[in-house]
Amino acid sequence: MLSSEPVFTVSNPDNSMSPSVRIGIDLVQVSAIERSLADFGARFARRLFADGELADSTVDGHLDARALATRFAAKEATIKAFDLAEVGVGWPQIEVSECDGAAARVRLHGAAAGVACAGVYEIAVALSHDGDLACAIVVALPRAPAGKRSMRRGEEHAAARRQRVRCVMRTITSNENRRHD
Amino acid sequence: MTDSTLDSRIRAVLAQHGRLAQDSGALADSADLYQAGLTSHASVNVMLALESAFDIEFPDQMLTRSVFSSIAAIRGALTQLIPA
Repeated sequence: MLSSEPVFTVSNPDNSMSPSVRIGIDLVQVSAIERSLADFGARFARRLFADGELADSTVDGHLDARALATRFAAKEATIKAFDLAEVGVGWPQIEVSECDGAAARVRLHGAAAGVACAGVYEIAVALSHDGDLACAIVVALPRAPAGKRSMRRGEEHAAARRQRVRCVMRTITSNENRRHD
Repeated sequence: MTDSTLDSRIRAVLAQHGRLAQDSGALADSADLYQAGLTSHASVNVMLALESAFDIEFPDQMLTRSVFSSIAAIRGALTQLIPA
């Protein structure tokens, strides 16, 4: 396992007071999760995973250690990304869904959501596994403030309007040229 | 329960579930368990094993890195959770 210190915090390039990009990574042994399930059974699963996660990690009536390992890695990566190690967050508050097939998502609940200012960030997670190892990387990107978002939308509308005007002007010019010909 | 009994039971749990690179019996009270090889996953196992050993439950607010950072820190947490 790599260091469990918060991993990387990338400064905002424009040096503004807006939140920084946050990144966390974690690596878990699938066989270690299997051992935990054998040693502690349902108590291990219930302590770490939300009901939906357990349902999604159940294959043929059994908990799939690989699915749990990738989810646990994503939870730990989230803790590192948001520096939650000293907050006191129950792991089910960090919910990882859609691990197979569709893109995985992280949803924060309770204290985790509050401390991580969940509304301020877009959270992206990438999961991978190979043999006995499961890995997750979490990247949290600051959402653009509402004012900036509407400004961007306004700018897009203005650009589209300018484009339409240019098209109309080209058409008028083209028609005028044809008349002169 | 005396401190030494508590210590020996904590060290036994660490030996069984901590996956430490060092002998838990030889660790200083204040030695950093993460430096000794404790991973985040192993700390979950240690927590669950301590709960079984002492018939307690760690509340969410005690699920912090520092609570499991040393034998002394674990003893401090257990002292709060074990009924007198």
